[in-house]
Amino acid sequence: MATTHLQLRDLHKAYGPVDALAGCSFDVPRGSMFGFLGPNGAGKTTAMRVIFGLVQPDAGEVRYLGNPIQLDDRLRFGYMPEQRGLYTRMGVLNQLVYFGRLHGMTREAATESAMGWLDRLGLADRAGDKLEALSHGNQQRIQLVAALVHGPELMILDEPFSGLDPIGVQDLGEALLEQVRERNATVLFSSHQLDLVEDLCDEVAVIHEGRIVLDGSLAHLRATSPIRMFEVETTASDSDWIPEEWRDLVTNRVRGRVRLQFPVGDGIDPDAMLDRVRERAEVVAFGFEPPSLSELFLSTIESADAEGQL
Amino acid sequence: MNRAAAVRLVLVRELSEQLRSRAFQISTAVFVLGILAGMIIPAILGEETEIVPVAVTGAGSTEIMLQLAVVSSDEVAIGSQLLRSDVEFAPMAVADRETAVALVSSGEAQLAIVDGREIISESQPGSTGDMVTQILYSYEVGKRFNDAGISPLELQLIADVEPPRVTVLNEEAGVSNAILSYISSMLLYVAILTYGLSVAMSVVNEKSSRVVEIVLSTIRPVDLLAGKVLGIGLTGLIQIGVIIVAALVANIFTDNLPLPETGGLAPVLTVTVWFLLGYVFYASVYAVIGSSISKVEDLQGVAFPVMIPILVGFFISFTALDGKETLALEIASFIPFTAPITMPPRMLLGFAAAWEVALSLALQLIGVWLVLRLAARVFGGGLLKDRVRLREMFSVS
Repeated sequence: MATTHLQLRDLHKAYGPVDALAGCSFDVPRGSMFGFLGPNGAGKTTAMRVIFGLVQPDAGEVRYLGNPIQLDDRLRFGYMPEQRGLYTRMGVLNQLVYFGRLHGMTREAATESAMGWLDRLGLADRAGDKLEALSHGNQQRIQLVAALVHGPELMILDEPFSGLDPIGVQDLGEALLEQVRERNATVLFSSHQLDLVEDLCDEVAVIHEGRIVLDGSLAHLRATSPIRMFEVETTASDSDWIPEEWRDLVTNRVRGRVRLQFPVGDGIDPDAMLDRVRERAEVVAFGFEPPSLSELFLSTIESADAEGQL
Repeated sequence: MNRAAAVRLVLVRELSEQLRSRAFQISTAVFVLGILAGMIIPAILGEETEIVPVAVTGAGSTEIMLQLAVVSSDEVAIGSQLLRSDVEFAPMAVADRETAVALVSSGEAQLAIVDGREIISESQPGSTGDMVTQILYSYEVGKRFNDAGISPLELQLIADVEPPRVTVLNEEAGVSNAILSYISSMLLYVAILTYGLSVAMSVVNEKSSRVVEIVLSTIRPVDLLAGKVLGIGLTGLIQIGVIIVAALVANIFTDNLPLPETGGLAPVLTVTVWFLLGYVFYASVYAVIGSSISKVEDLQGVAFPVMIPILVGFFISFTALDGKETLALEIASFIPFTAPITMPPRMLLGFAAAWEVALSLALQLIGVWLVLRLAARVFGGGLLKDRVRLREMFSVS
C-alpha cells in the first residue's frame, strides 16, 4: 500500500453566503496520477489554493506526509494555477531560473534543469527570447516547465490540458506519466476531459458543492459502482425494439448502437438481457461492463443532487 | 528557504528587469543628456564674443568711435559695472542720420549713434544699449569737465573711486543655495513619484499577468513586498547616482553648479537619505494600491490621491526660494507625508535647527514603520482577487 502523500482534512471555506468548501476531505497516495474532478464552481480551485496556503480555510487542515503542511514543504510542490501566468517581458530562461530558485534551487542547478527542459521541448534556441515572443502553444509549454523545473515531489495542476491541441495533450500526458514512473512523483490535476483522466489516472476524487462525493482508485470505483452498462448494436433502423421498461435507462444512442444503464441488483443478468433483445431485433454486437469514468461522474453528481433536494 | 534569501531573489529579479527595461534606459539617457546640455551648452556659448556693429555719425564721431574701440580692447574701464567682456564693438563712420537709420533697419548695424546724443535701435536695445549709453554718458561728462578746465587725466584721478565693500551676514544663505534646494526638491519630487509608481506598476503587472499566484505559492506576500520595494528603490538610487555623477563631472568642466564651499557631499547625502525615507513611505502605499486593482489602466485613477500630498509638499518648498522661511514650510517639514520634500530644502537653506532635523527624521521613521506594518498586513489580501476596495482589504485583515 502506497504511503499517503497529501491529505485534505475536512476543509471549510465560505465566501460570503457561498460555501466553496464544505467539509472537503481526501487522500492522495504517493506516486499516483490523481484526477481531481468536479463541475465548474465545485471548489477545485479553492481546494488547490488552500493546499498552497494562498487561501486560508475557515476550518480543517492539509497534511503533508502525515504532518500539518509547512511553507517549506510547498517548495517541493509544483503548481500550475487555473489562471496561467508568467512574466511576459522577461526572458524565457531567466524566468525559469527564477522559478527554480524561488523553490530553493541554486542558480546553477536551476539553469541546468531549465535548459534540460527547453532542450527536450525543442525550445533551447528560444532561451534568450522574451516570453511574449513565443507562440501561444510554446508559452503553455513554458508554463508547464515553470511547474516542473525544480523536480517537485508533488505537482498540483489546475486544468493543465485545457487549450492544448491533441499533440500537446499527448506530450503533456506522457511527460506527467514519466514523472510518476521515473521519480515516484505524485501528480494531482483537475480536468473536464474525463476520457483523458480515465486513460491517465489510477486515482480520482470527485468534488461537488464543496464536498467529496466519490474518491478512490478508479478500478475499484468502477468495479464497486452501483450501475452497469449494457451496450448493444442491432440492425434495426429505429428504436422500436427497445422494451418499454428499458426506455428510461437509455443513456446514449448512436445509429444502431444503444447504451443502457442498469442499477446493480438481483435481477441483473447479461444473458437474459441479451435474449430479450434477440427476441425483438438482430444483434450485431453487445457488451456488458462497469461504467466509464464519465458515466460514473454523471451518475454520482445526479444522485448527489437528488440527495441534496430531499 | 530562509526569508532573507526570498527577499533577495525578488530584489535581484526586480532590479535586473528594471535596469534592462527600455523605460529605465531611455529616462536615464534623457536625464543625463538634459543635464549635460543644460550645463555645457551655456558654458560653450558663454565664451563666444558677440561683435556689435555700430554706425556713428555727427558731432564727436571720431572720439566716440575711439571710445567704443577702447572698450572692446578692455584697456580702459569706464563704468565697469556695466561692461560685458563678451561684447566687442565694431564702429563705422557714416555720412548722416538717414544712412545710419538705413543701416540699422537693414541689420548691417545693430545700433547707430547720432551726435553722441541719440541711440537708434531696431528694437529695445537691452544690455548692449546700456553699455553704449554708459560710454556716451562718460564721453559727454568728460567733455564738459574738459571744457571746465579739468583734463581727462585729472578727471580719471578724481573719479578713481573704490567700489563699495559687500558684507554678507549669512554665507550659507543666498541664491546659490536656493537653486540647490530647488534642484533637490525637484529631484526628490520626481524620484519619489516615479519609483513609487514603478512599485505599483510592478505589483499590478504581476497581478494582471497572474504570475503572482505561482510566486505566492513559494514565498510570503510580505517578502514579495519587501523585495519589490527594495529592488525598485535600488534602481532609483542607481539612476539618481548616474544623474548626479553626470552633473558633477560636467561641473568639473563648466563650474556653473552652485555647490557650497564644503563640496557636493552634504547635499547629496541629505537628498539620498530623504529619498530613501520618502520612497519607502510612498512605495509601501503604492504597493497596496497596486494590489487592489487588476489592470494597469486602473492605476492612474487610484494613484492620483496619493500624489496630492507630494505635490503639496513640492509647492510649499517653493515658498522658500526667495531665501525666507515660511510657516507652511516649517509645518510641512514635520509631517511624514510632506517632510521628505520639504525638510531637505530647509536643511540646504540653513533654516532647520539640528533638533528640528532630528525630530522630523524620528517622525518620518515612525511614519515609515507604521505604513510598512499596514502594507504588510493588507498587501497579500488583494493579490488573488480581481479588484478590491481598499476598505475591504483593511476590514478583512
